[in-house]
Amino acid sequence: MNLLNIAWRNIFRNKRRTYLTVSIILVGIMVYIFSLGYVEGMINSSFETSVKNYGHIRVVDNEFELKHRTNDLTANVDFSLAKKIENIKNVKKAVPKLSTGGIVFLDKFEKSVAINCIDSEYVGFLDIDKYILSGEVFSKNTVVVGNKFSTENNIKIGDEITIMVDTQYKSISALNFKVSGIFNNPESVYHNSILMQLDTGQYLLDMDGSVTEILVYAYSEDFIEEIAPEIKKITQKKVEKWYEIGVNAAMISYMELPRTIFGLIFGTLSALGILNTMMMIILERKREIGILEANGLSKFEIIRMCLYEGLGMGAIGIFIGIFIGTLITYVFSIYGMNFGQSMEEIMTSYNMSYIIYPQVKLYNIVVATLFGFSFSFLGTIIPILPYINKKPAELIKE
Amino acid sequence: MKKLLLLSLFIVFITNSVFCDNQEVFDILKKVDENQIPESSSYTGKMLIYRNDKVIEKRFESKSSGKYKSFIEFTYPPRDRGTKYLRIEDNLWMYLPMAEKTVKISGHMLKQSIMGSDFSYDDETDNSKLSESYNGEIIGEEKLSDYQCIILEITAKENANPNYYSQKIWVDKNNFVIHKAELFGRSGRLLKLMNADNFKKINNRLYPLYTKMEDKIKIGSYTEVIVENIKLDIDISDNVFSLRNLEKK
Repeated sequence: MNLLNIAWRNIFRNKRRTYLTVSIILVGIMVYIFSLGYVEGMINSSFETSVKNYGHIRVVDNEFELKHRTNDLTANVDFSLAKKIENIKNVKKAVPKLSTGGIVFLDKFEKSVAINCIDSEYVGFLDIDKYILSGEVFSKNTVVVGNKFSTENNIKIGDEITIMVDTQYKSISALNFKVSGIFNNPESVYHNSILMQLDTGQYLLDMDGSVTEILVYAYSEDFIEEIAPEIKKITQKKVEKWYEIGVNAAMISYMELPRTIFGLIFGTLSALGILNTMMMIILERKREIGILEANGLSKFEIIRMCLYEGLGMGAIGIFIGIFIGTLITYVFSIYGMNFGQSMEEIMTSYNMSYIIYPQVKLYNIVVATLFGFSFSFLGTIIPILPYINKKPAELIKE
Repeated sequence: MKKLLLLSLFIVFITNSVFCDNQEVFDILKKVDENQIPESSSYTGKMLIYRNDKVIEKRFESKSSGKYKSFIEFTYPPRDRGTKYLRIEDNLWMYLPMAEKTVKISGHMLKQSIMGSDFSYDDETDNSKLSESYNGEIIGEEKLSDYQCIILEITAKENANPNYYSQKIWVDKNNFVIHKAELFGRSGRLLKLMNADNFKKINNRLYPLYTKMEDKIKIGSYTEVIVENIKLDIDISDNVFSLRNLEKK
């Protein structure tokens, strides 16, 4: 009889045990696929948030990180650098941005607020107009207020507010603005912020000709490595790729860890399942193996038969696991995993949205399949080895 | 008995020498105050802020009365025109013409830079007398340019709360004006270095028309104030030091 047929028949000799083993492999692979997809989703969220906030590449003053925290605007870059960067091949846009903190004076109280100044030329490119909840985009003497800030402070369209700031020369400056719109950018850094036109912001902050950041957008992320050195050729300022900015650098390397950990946990789980089943099979069938060997089956053929059996159960578990795991990941990739606004602050500190969209990736399916078969192989071969060198008579006697 | 007598004599000697030293320092500081802290003053000034390779010029008009009232209005450059400061005792109000808004500055904010210069709000608006706020000792003498100076180390009195916890000042031995001052924080860190020059005799007082302040915390920055059209000990109406005047357009 064909070895494959014997193995296949053996799989169904004890259905309950087979279901159990297949289930263990199935759950392992399913969770592994989903976990990898979730990690990919986190990386993707971090990428999207970073690119929206900082561009693919960000150009800042060398002391920007330190001075920005205290709203010290002496760490700035020349506005004209943006146009020079736009001339570099594969650069889609170089957006000059001015950001700082200030105080908004309302009728009876004052509140700190983040101030972001963008040239009106880039409003469409940065999707600012799409996020306007009500009213319209800022103009020379008007500002757009973040939804959360407006709700918490009861600011409405048409209200007049005074914004007070420290200029780059450390003197106090203030201007009055009318609120022209309320915006709801999904990036939580904008929830408590005010958007205004770049030249108005430059006047308010005494930053004529300077900005705090230049956000560089490439036609595709594939061009990042090519563009960054070109920018370095034309400026002495700090040129940072998106994954080198702030918490991103640590995040990206940290994300590699769960991949390995998930692989080991669920791989070991599957292997232990098969190991357990195979050990029982071998123990129960020692006599049978001895008889088969006595009837002329070689040791190699016996190993092959057991491997067909183990890998067969593995294959069933792996394929069903991949199917269910991919399906669950796909559903969440459409609807997202919403951790709620209570998690917003934590997620934001890691440059992520509080809604994570897990990713279905072929790479993850291939890795999961390889993992599954490798551990199935190990789980099968390990229990056979102690018996394979025994003589048929010994096995029958045992 | 003999030992007790010797000990008493020693204590009397020490007390007397310390008291004499303190008295001498007090007298010097009092003379400095008489020169540099007028009953009232009115002048126009030019502020030159040097920041690395940039020079920013600002012009202002200043009026003060006693040690607790002062009023400053900036007249140049155009973006700062109409920015006014009113100080009454420990309260400081700032009027921002572009927003037509008055903002009260108090507490630690008074230690911050005025108009981005190396002078703080306190430096520019506080007229407290040194002799009332500090104790000290003479630590030596030194010639600064052509002036023979006594060097004093002065520290804030227990109940006083001056702008700087301690100072090392170079006082002109003949005219009792401060040519140089090192200003220290409570931690002993040097915060600012002040130089004064071009003293003019007005109403029996010697008043510096040139002051240079260097904030030691900032790198590559210092500010010069050049005083013009100065009048001392004149009558200034109390209406000048009012919120109504501050908010007058």
